[in-house]
Amino acid sequence: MQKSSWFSTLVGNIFNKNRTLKLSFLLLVLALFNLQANTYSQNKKVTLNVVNKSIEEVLKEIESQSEFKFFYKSDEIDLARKVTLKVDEMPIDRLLEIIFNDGTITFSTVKKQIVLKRIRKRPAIHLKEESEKLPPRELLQLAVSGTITDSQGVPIPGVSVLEKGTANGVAADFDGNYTITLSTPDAILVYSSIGFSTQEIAVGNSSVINVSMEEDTEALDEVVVVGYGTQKRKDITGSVASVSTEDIADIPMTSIGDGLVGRIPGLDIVSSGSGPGAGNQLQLRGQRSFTASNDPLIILDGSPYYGLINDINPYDIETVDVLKDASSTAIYGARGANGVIIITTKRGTIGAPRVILESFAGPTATYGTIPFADGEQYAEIGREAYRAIGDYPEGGTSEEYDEIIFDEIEIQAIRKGGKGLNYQDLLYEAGFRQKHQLTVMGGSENVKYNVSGNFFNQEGIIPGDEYNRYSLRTNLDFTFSPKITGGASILLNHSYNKKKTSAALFQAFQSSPLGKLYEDDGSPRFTATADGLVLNPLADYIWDSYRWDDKRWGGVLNVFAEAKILPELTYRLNLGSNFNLNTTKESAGFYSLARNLGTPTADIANSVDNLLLYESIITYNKTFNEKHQLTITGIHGTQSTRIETSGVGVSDLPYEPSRYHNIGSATLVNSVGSNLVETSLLSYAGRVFYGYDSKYLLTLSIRADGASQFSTDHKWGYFPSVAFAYRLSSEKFMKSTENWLNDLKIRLSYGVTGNQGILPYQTQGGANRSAYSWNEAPGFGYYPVELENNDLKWETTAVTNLGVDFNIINGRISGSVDAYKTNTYDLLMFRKLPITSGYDQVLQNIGRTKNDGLEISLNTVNIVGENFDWKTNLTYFSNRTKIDELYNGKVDDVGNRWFIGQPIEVFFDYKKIGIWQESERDEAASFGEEPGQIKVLDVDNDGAITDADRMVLGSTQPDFVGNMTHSFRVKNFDFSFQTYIRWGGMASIDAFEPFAKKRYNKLVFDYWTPTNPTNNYPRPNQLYEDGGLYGTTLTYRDNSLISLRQISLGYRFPQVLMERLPFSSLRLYISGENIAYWTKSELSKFNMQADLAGSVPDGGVSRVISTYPATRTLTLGINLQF
Amino acid sequence: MLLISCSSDYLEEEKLVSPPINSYFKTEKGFNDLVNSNYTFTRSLFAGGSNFAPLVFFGTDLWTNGSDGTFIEFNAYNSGIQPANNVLWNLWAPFYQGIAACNTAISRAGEVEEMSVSEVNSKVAESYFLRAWYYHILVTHFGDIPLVTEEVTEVVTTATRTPESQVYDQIVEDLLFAEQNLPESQADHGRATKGAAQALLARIYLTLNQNDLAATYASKVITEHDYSLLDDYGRLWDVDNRVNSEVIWSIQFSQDERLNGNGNSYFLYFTPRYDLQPGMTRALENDRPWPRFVATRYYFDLLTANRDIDSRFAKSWKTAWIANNEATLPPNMQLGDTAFIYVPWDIPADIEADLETKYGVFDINDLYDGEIPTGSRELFPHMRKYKDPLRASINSGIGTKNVIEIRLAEMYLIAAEALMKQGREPEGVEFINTIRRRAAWPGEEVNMEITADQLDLDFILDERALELGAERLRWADLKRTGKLLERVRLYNTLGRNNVEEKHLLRPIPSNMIDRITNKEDFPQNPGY
Repeated sequence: MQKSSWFSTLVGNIFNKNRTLKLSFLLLVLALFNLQANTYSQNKKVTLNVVNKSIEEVLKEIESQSEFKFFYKSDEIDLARKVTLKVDEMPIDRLLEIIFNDGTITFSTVKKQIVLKRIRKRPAIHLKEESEKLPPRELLQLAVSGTITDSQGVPIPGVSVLEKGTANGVAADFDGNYTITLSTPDAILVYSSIGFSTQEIAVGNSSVINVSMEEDTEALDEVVVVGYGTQKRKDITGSVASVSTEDIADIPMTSIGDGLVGRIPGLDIVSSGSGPGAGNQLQLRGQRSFTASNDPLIILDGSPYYGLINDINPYDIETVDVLKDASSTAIYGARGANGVIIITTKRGTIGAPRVILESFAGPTATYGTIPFADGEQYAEIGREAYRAIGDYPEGGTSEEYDEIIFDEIEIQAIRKGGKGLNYQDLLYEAGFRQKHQLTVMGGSENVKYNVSGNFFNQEGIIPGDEYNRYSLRTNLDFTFSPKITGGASILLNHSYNKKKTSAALFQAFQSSPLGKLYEDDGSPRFTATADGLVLNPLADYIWDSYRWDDKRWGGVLNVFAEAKILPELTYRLNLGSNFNLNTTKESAGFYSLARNLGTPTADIANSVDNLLLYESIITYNKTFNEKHQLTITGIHGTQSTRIETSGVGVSDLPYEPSRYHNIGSATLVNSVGSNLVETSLLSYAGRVFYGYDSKYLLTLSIRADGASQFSTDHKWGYFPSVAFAYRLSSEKFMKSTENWLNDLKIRLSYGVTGNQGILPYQTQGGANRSAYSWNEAPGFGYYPVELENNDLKWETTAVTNLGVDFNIINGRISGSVDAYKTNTYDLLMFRKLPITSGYDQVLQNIGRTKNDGLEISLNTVNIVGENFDWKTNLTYFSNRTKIDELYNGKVDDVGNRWFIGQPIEVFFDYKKIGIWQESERDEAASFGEEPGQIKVLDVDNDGAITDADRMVLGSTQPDFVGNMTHSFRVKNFDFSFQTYIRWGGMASIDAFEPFAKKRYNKLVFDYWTPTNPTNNYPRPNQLYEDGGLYGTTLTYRDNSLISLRQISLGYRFPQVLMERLPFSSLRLYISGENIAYWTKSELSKFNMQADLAGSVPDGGVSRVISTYPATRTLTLGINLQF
Repeated sequence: MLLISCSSDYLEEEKLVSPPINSYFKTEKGFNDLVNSNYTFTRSLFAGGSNFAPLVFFGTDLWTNGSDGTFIEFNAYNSGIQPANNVLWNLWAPFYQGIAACNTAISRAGEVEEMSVSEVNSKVAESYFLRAWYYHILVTHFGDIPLVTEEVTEVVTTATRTPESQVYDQIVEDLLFAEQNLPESQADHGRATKGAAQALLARIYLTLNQNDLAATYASKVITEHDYSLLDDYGRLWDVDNRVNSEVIWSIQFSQDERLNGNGNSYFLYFTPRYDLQPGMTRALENDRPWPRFVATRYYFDLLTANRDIDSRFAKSWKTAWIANNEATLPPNMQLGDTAFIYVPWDIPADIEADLETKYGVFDINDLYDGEIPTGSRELFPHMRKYKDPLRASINSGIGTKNVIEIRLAEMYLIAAEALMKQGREPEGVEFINTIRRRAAWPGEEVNMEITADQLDLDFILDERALELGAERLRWADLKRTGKLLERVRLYNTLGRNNVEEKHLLRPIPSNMIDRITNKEDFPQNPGY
């Protein structure tokens, strides 16, 4: 059984395949183990010769010989005790054991700090009394020590303690104890740790400072990135969802889209293919636009990003904040209608340089082959197709007739017997995926840095499909003075996607399994059978005749400076530029599937686009009387884009191996072209936030945008919003629920956003170049194709959002629920015109769509213990899109498949109700059909199947999307799994529309024959093209999917072990993606998964099966910190 | 940056990539470009797989459906002829776009600045000619249609159907203008000329039953210009002879992909699956097979009845193939030998048996079971008028061959028919005989001649089938002569039981009706 052995296949493939990159991964792992052994033996040794010296002096001597520093509480250790020692090259730990031989003192090493402690149970509460007995602080050289605990008194290890304004800092030990030697007497100490609020404490005269850290588990103080600023989560008035990459850091991701699937309620992510480099389509709260873009705006480190989301290295991302309702997005005005995804990359923090190495690698494999017919089945389907037209005897086979209907190659295969060829088996191989990332971060008060380099590589499941991404990120933050700060974000990426075949999979699916790929003498055949269109699926590889090469270079360069004009008034200047260069090259030789014995061709397409951004942001932030919080933000900005494209296509290359490297040598130029598209946007915006005691919260904003795309009188659009939040849990009458209901907030918002996502120049009217010839001489021309339209303006979306945030039992249960209604009007829609005017369509602001939906996100902490944690994250969302009005009012546009009351993307076709049976022969005949053909519903019951009998069968829109992630920690092991449900929705999968006639291969079907009166699939029939009469009705499938998207098991090496290694942390993990899935229709049985492949059948829009079978991935990874 | 953003110019957009229509079309170059664009839409009849072809081949007495291709409903005259049928829209839409481009040239002719009035008239006369040609094909298939004669400059969402007769009035008026203003000849082969306008007028007048004018114009074309019939009927279809003295107007295609648009796909439709025969594989000179249109039994019988004296079957049909595939050669056959032949008539069994010792032989009884093509309809002689060996490669679907839209021989047949209809058979028979003599095998000219008493409508229709078969005129010929229903019932086995009066008009495409706001003023053709 294929399925039971997939794991061993996967693992086998890692080791069997001779790929240098895989080797290098193995070497890396080996090197790591080597390194551990080394450090163990390299433990620092010291040489001492002391006579009757105090312990204090001895420790100093050790410090001077090594880079270690000792930390201890002077009351715990008898510093004055005198010792005499003579040791030569002794490891420190051994030496310490000798010095403190009474067993009352233990020591532990944290990086280069050795912490000495007395072994005894010592409740924190006694510390204060003891501190009074301390010697004068001068004796301790201005040292401060203490214990850091949480609010329950449990010590917290690893808290960072930093002397403010210096690089002087230490980390608390595992019992929460710390000692820091101060450089100035009036120091302020900053205590910070992940999951706790940062505290600053002035040292004053204390030499012992015990700190109780306040937990952040309620996440209320978590800072959320909102447009043009940040806000504490507890003060948010709109609908904003956030994912920190900490939550998904351990998941092997191809792109950030992968990592976000199911994690943000309202964000529907569908992959647009399965091959290496395939992207995702992101859609937030449904579809609202027909013509303008439905893509959410992506803001990357403050600047709009229009490149491919795939090109962003997901491991550079710190947080993703998704602004969903109009009150959050209105500040982005004309670009905010589809929601805003704000991506913030990782920045430096104060401290010594930290080096982080993250690597993973692992194979990808198919679930199995898609069960297209084997030779015997194919032959029988072919015979049946001829039986249907009376050209083959009923029942049984006939050699005589076989010779007529099969060609000579197929006859040979039939005579030989057996199942023929399975081309998929010949083609598939294990894919492979790996990532390596090195990050260096750190900084001082003045400069903080975070630099990372990343390499990602993915190889597909058919040979030659490959995607590589290289990225380099540098984030810098400067503090020029207490009043002036600044920084830069520089992201550079390069991706390289290539393929060595254009259609090998397609041919593998459709070529006759009775074919022959090699002649008896071993020479390859170009066609699989005698048929000139049934090709050898391996041809592109055998002749090495095809190349597709897509290279991209992108950069996002942002700098900012911030000045505190007054303590409460800040001015920020953002300047940004981002660019994308793309060159796509394709060459196809004579013996390529693409050319099918045509002259060799080569094509090159280039594009250069860049964006320039300027923004001035002024922020006034003040709290009055400790209760009134006021933030006012003013924004002025411009944005311009420029896209230049060029391309050329040639044919009849004299020397095929030159591929696309010498297109000038070709005899014929098939196409040449270039284009320029420029847009600009000018904006003013303002926002006022007022909060009373974090109980009543109000946000008002307005933005004015001017866009070049629109006509002179309609360039400007105004986008206001208002949002109100009320923290019910702060009310006195809620006192009784205080112990368990920690937070309850109700949010209500309304706002208006716009959509300018159309190409420029559409108001001007325009001419097209026409081509003609005068007996081979050029006859180019120009004719008008667009009407002038001086009324073109924004598409406008108004959103009402009602939300509740809650936190129960100290964060054990927290989450939010949002319900929204979206109305989009003045839709930018191509109004279809009677073609008698010469114009097919004109872009106008007409029509309305509606979206409404419900989003739930729930986090529970089920179990917390010293050794065992269990947390759960649940998301659920549903969205309904409805067309409310089209250009002719409430009248359907059948041509575009747009129907009032239906979603935008629907399947409109006849409805199959079965197969005509023998007993219905007469009735079938009245419809011009015969038994064995598809019976469709005669909706209007007029006795004929006409255009009027087509109906809306379904839409691509899912009923709901749900996701459940469980994470467990058992001691040092962590374990998580993610289950994802996308329920409902329809897909049109063309593989289920078999060719009626014998020519191309088919999925094995339960098809009708006189002896098999099924209602599933029609009888093969040699008289029909494609799927035959109503063949498309066979393609529709329920797209409901439940998948075990991700499962991972990790092990974090214990800190005790780390002390002997040069790392501060080490985690190994194994992870599986898409490990199992179930579909409501028979897709999973066919090893298929529906995704968005972008093929659009006539007039309608459909999501069809990708050309890849479903795959799963196994990954082995390592995260290392130095 | 601040300065830029404060300037209102920041939001102005400038389109650099194409010329501003209003000023450009006033220049000589611009106006010439505008008129050039008028021709582009003529190619839409030949592009892709869901083009015009089913409307003119299917559903006639001459052609029926082969093994491949859809739109068989136009052959069967069944319920598949729906307003939403793509074929209808694919004819309607590009033709109205072509008409609009012509209208733009006609409306803007008065504004051209760099040309004299007579230069402008001579140029815009091409647009008048093309507009008439577009309207003629539309009115033939759809009857009353919207008649638009001016450039549309703002959004129009209504349309009404103009009576057929008024459309014809406009067509005649346009062609008379074209005749007056077009030059005798054009430097660019493929542009409309005075002769082309007269030839199209002859066609129109014949359709309108204005037979004296039809005869007059046909005669004008024959006598007043330099056109002449080729001596050899077979040379008309040779790919190296695309420009010849018999061509009055041809629609241009090109081997240069940049000029060729979507190309001419007709080479595909008449090609049998020769590649499946022993000793054969696909080859460029044999075309790519896509058996779509098969001659009816009636047509083969007509074509071959006088094969001993009439060369036209032999010269426009390929019946023998040369072995070109070593891998599948049968025993005792060499590369270069005849691999198989089609003989669409009866041959004695003993002769057939003898021939079969050398190569494959398919006679009419192998090809037809009575009236119906046998097997899966992949086997039949190859009608070679669209043969296209200059395509880029064997499996390329993009054809390059010009299509002769009007040729001189048709004028003789129009003259003959028009004269016959006026009772002037003795004059008419001379025109017929000219055509028949040219078609004769050498030495058989006299045997091809007919007498005036033989000349009747059925004879003319048969003669047109022999001379102009596959030249896209048949459906209109049958409709014009009132013979469509009769001949389909007689000779088209698939359509004979279904064809009815309503089929003389096609349904108006639903895409047209769906888009207008005054649907109540725009009735569908009856019965659809």
